[in-house]
Amino acid sequence: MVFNSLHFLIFLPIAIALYYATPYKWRWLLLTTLSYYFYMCWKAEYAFLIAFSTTVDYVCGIQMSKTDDKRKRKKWMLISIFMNLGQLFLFKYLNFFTFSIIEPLNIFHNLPEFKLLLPVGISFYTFQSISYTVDVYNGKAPAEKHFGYFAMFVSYWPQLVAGPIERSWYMLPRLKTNHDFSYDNFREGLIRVLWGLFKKAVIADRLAIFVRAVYQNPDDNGGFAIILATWLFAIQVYCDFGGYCDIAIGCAKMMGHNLTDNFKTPYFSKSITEFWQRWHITLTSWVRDYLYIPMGGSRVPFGRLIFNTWFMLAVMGFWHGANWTFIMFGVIHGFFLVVARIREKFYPNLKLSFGKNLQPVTNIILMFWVFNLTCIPDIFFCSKDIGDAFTIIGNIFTHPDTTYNLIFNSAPNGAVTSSIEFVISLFFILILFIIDYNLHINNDITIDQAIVKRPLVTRWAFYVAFTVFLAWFAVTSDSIFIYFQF
Amino acid sequence: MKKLILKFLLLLIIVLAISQVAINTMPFTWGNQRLNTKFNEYSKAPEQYNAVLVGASTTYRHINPSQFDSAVNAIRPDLNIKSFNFGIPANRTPQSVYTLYELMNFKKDNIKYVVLDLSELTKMGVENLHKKEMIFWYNWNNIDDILEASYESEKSWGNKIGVPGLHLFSFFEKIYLIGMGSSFVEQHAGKNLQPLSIGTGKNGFYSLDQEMQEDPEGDLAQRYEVLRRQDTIDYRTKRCQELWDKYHTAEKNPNKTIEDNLKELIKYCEANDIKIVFMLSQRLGDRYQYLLPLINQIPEKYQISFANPSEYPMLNERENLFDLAHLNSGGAKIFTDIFAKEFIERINMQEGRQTPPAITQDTNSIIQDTLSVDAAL
Repeated sequence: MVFNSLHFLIFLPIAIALYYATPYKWRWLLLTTLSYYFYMCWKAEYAFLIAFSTTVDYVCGIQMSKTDDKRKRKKWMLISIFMNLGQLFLFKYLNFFTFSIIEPLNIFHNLPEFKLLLPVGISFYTFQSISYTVDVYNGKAPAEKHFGYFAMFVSYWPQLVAGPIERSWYMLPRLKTNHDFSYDNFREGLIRVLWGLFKKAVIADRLAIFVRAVYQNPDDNGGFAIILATWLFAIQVYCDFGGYCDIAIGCAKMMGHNLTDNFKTPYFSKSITEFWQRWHITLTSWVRDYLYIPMGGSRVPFGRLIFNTWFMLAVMGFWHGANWTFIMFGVIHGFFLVVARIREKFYPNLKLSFGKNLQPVTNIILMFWVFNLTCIPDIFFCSKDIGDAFTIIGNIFTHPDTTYNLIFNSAPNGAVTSSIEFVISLFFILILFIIDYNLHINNDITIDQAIVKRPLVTRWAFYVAFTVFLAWFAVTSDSIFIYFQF
Repeated sequence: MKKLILKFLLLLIIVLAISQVAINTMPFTWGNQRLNTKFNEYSKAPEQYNAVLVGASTTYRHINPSQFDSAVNAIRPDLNIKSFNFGIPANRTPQSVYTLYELMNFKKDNIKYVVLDLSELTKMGVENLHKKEMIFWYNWNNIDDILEASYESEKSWGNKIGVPGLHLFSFFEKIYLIGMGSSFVEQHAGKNLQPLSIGTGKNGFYSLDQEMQEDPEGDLAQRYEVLRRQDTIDYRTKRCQELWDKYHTAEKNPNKTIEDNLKELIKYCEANDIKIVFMLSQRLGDRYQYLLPLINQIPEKYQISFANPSEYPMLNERENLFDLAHLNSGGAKIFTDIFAKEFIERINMQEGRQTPPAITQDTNSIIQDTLSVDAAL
């Protein structure tokens, strides 16, 4: 089930009503049932994978809690990691390894291709499960004794298919707390859902028209059109994934649960390091805690630090999908972070500045610079394959400019004039950036926190305006969230 | 909880009011670019026209108003017909009724003759959802009739609930302008137009072969190619005949609501001194089970039926067809002339006049005359 569907529009009020109508002691059962229903709407049989992960991790957690023997505890942790990563490898990476790595080595011939459909959200729930067993092993989190609560934690429907990736020590106590209906929670959650739907259905899906026009026809586009489409893709992916997270957080909030923020106005970052503190925060912190720090983190020689940093980003790229394009996405981001580390160590005073009086100008230039830097790996992220990505980069310089075509001829079948859609897109991007900027300068508060503080008239102006925007300008054709495929 | 529900309802009412204001700033044709283009052209000088032809693609592609006017005026110069074709693809009968009322209300004094082509009734599927072309004409006045008619049209209980449900959902989409904001902007930016769709004569007629020339490798070209096969033609003719044989004697009309709507329309036209003629074109598919019983309820002087393929064999010949459901430009010329003759007959019947001798001549000679005039032009 996707959040921007009629199905979800019916599901949400029923789910929330049932949640509050159900006695506290049975809520775990209701939430788990709803979560499995939510997931099974996509492909019922793949719910067994979640059930399998849940069972294995529950057993491993319980076994670890029964002993103080470090070797035995480690064994159970490794079983859990092996089962989760094995599942991920089988469904997501096996064909990639077979045909992109083993076959080119020419050792084996006629390797079979496994035609398995990638389970939605597998990277999210396996990472969440792994974090649980590792935390239990490290003594950071207690093992959950109640299988029902644990199943609810792994499958919790708002964040099941695209995060945020939560930790058991944070989430389980919140899920277990008895929450009575709270008008404030409900209102804040609803604002967040409205904001998320606006980002997804009004902005991301509209920008997709222009992005697809270029990235699905890499040979036919060139010049500034590619740069423009890449800028639009950067905003699209932010609104798509950020919008999903807002909806997920909003839905959870309506039930009284606070999920971790996954995005904090990332395009107002003034350095690439800051960008990664604001973009997909729960994945970054997961990789930091379970990969980067165990590898030594920052307490290693500088050369190793450089490698660790680069490797962490490369893994994050590969996490997105079994394709060289995603690896390149991570590798390039890793390279940028490495350059940032080198500058911080060897040239700490090398900073762009036009003096204190012109600090806002400096900030704008830095933000624009960082935004453009992040657009370079996005070219790989958005391309079908690595060949297309290089064709697109080459066409920026060699192909005649096709910006006019992009703006005027992108809409399919001339249903609505492209140029009108383009102007509407720019208008809503402007609104997005104005609101995000206001959130940014107010210590990165969230939209719901910002709105509820406002006077009645402003609050209602927001409700009415964004409901009208959403109703009138939502792209109603079927579209799934980009991060569902991961 | 009560406070929340009340506030939510208030929000819905405010958004509804804003949406209704927005809808009222647009012409009634805003949801269909072809119809909007036609109305835009028509409204430049509505006083020029005293006849409007409303219907689906079988009107749009088959009746050339300038030829129709010439043919009618040659026989009945006193009618002084000047017509405009408002046919659009995939139009349904209730939508045509809506369009006709809106046109008559726009310039009631000018319009003296109207033609309404009976087409699809209230069929609705999930694939039709979110398409503004399908739902822009729903309003507070016609939604109850649409729900009732769709309930009557469906046979299974699942569809009797499901299809009206889809109409009702679409009605809410329409009144809240859901997903239609771009069209609103487009309309007010003056870009909600498809200039080619009104045809070279700028009278709303645009044959399929002309349109195919715009995109020689598009969907229309594929449809055209399918019909080049003789087995397709044979299938079409056989199917038309089968459907006619099966349904033309049907007396029980399941669509009482639409029948009542059409009879009300006749009364409205009579009250306003407007002559109305309903037309039923040849159609494939099981729609005949609804359309033939429906047209059988309309008095003869108000209706023309082309449903019997053996009565009009030239409309089934390959050289006159474009695809399984439409004539090409040559076929349209033939059809327009036959239609003109039948139209005059119905007007005469409504006026209580005898059919003048001129229109009893062989149809083919009229066709030949018109073709030679066209060739000379």
